Amino acid sequence: MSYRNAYYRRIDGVRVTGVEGFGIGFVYTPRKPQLYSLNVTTLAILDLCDNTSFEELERRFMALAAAKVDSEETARQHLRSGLEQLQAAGIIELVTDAQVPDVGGVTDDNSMNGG
Amino acid sequence: MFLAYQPKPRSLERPLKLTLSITEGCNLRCRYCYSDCDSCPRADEMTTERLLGLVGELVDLGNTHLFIEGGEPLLRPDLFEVLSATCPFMMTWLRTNATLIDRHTARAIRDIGVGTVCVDVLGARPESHDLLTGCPGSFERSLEGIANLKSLDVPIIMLLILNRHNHLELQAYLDLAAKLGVNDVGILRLYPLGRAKRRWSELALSHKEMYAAIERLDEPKGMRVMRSWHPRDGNCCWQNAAVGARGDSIGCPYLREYVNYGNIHHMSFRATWDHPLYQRLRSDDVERACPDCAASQHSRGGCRATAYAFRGRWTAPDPFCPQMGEGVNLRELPERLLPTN
Repeated sequence: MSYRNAYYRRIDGVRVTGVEGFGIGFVYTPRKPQLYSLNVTTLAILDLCDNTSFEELERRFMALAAAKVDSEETARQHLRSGLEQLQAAGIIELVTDAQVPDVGGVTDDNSMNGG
Repeated sequence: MFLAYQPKPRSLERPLKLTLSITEGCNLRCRYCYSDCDSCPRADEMTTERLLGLVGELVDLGNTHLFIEGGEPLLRPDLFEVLSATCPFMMTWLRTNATLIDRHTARAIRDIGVGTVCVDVLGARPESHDLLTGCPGSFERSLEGIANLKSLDVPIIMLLILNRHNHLELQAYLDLAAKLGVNDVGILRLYPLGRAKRRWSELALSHKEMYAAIERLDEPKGMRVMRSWHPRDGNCCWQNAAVGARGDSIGCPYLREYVNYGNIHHMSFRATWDHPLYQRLRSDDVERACPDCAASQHSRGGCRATAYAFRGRWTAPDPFCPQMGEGVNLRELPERLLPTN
């Protein structure tokens, strides 16, 4: 599903700390106290979850990954997998304008009332 | 993972993990207590203000791991004030004997955001546990504490220090953990510190006895059992730090009688990280390493505390790993460690 103005962002309170020279980082999620270690790819994905649009995030990730993988599809798989894992861990959240799927046309709250 | 990185020598700007002892007071009287705890906190323990200052420094340094222990931390009236400063910023482990955890305290521990409670249960039976704690009835009280935590889904690790009084009941210990709904168990080695040092001949096991105990275990399904013997004997100085109840920076709780990198009453914690001996212990400078342990732990030479205790050299291989033991008899302490009185 694609979203109008969808973007990923780090959940409030999540703390990220890189481990210099090791290519890993630790993420602490205080809402549900857990500590995760992230590899360098997932750290890079998390770094991109900074309120930019999904399209922009994908474009930036593809540029980062271009020389490292054999195909764009492989890079997209890494990105999808990374985003899913980060979301499942409560590290990032997907935010959309009014959480409305982009199916064309204009939808607003009034339409929910059945007119 | 496909984005590459270049590993560098182990020169971290700060520790990854820090153990903070907040008191040397304890309501039990364990035979092997490394801190030689008394029933009352000591007069020169860190004040609340000092503890909060240290926690603030750790948060500013970017630390995300904090292990709080004692003594018995729940004896400190300001424990929850300290936890309220740590839990929002660092995954906080709380080590306790759980005898003081009633339902109200369990709820407070959960609500404040403690990540995991590590409970010392010293044996599988009241007889062995109470013998080791020196307090009749403490086994039942610890298990009640665990039940109170479990009822609120607080993650728990049960910890046991392997010694002569419990080595034959390890399987029963794992079964007890499973029965209590605890899926994480840590089997720890005995260190020649504090009262354990004075009772070494009573408590210590030989290599053969230790490995017989841990190798015969049939781990219940879904249980994770942590143990630090071959082939998982790690040298973790490079990432660890510890601060004792009086503010001494000691690198690791097991180095408490051998090093002091400075006291945080007089300097920042970060300044103690730069102590020359601390830097040396983080440098992986060891004479010889077990390849299996090095491969599994990404570090060489095994534990520095037991290497130094038994061999008197910071670069010595750890005798707890049979591959590096070179015939060291772990049941006998070197003379220089023996108590003088």
